[in-house]
Amino acid sequence: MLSCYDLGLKINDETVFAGLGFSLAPSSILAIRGNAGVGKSKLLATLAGLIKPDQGVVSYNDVPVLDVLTAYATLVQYVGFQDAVKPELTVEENIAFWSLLKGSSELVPAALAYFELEDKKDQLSHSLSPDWQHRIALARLIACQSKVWILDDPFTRLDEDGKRLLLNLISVRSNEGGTVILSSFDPLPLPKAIELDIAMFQPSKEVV
Amino acid sequence: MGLWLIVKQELHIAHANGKGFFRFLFFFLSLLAVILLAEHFKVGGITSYIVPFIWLNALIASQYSLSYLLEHDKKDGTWSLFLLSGKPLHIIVIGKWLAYWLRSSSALILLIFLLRFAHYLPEIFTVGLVQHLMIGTAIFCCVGMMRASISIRATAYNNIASFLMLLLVAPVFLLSMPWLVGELVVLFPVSVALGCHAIRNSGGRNC
Repeated sequence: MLSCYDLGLKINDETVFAGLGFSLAPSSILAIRGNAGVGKSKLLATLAGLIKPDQGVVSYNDVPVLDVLTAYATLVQYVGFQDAVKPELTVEENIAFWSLLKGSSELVPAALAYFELEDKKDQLSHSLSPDWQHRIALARLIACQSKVWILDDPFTRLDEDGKRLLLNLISVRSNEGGTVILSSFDPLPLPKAIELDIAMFQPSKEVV
Repeated sequence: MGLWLIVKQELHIAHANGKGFFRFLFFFLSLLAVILLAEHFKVGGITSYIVPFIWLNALIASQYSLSYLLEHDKKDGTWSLFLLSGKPLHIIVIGKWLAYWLRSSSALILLIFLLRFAHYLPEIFTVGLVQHLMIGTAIFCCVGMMRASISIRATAYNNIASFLMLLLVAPVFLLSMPWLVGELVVLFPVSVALGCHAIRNSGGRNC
């Protein structure tokens, strides 16, 4: 179970969010909603263990993740705003490297097939359009099997077909017991998703 | 396994974007050809300054693609994935360091053997120079990693980092082998620690 308690973060002495807390059982989907620049990415990075919060704690099975970061990292797959796709490498190499680093490359063919990247697997990544490059980043979700997926605004850079594939993948992962946390501008057609508006955990800005 | 994967990937990327072994070798040979042309291929003349030439190349080679060492990974989001790879961060930094050192030193070592083959370097001198160069370029790479780690956190420190680099590379030209091994033993863990610190503290903040 992934949970956080009284979570707060400040950037340059400005509060991004404060007093944020929730618990997510396996199979949960959490959709973090909010306008651009409100701190969704920072919250996701904090939940991934990439940023140390200024207050509160993120725990996995009641153990603070920052105390066991290397072990926690093996359970988490993070797709950030940047795709971490190396333009000098082929599509397959970009996926296989990370899955090998996490243990095994057995699922790379399945990941390529699911995101319809099979016929492009030997192409250099820089020859693909941004939405296809984003598919490479998402294909790592299948190639590097992890219990928790943290996805930063994953639908924005996808075409309709890509969106359909990702929605289906999230549903399947959730049904298999995985936890999915994602950010989004718009409501998502995921019936199981619990919505969290980050604005509720931000200090109110008084108009003078 | 993780270390080898990172070294392999770094070398592969460097080769693909034209900053690999052959680029370095071509660069050195071009410089050498210019000197030879200037000297009208007089072997006696070139042998007097071939060693400073090699050391200058070593310094250039070690600092040549320094920005690539950390900056690109920060910009494209790779740091976040490295932090969540489940591998200890020092393995990742050592992998990047090792690939960088192999890239910059291997072409230079080959150049020395080519110079020896062309009788520009005396045989008795060659082995000692190669040993010295292996340690020397490793120190250059450590200093390069330190500079990249400092300046990537705050570009305001760029000039300070460059000055620090000058101070730290100077002993390579002045000290004897045992002292250089000592310097490497000290600088290597410091450079790895600084690299880890830079990635750990900027990886998530770059979201």
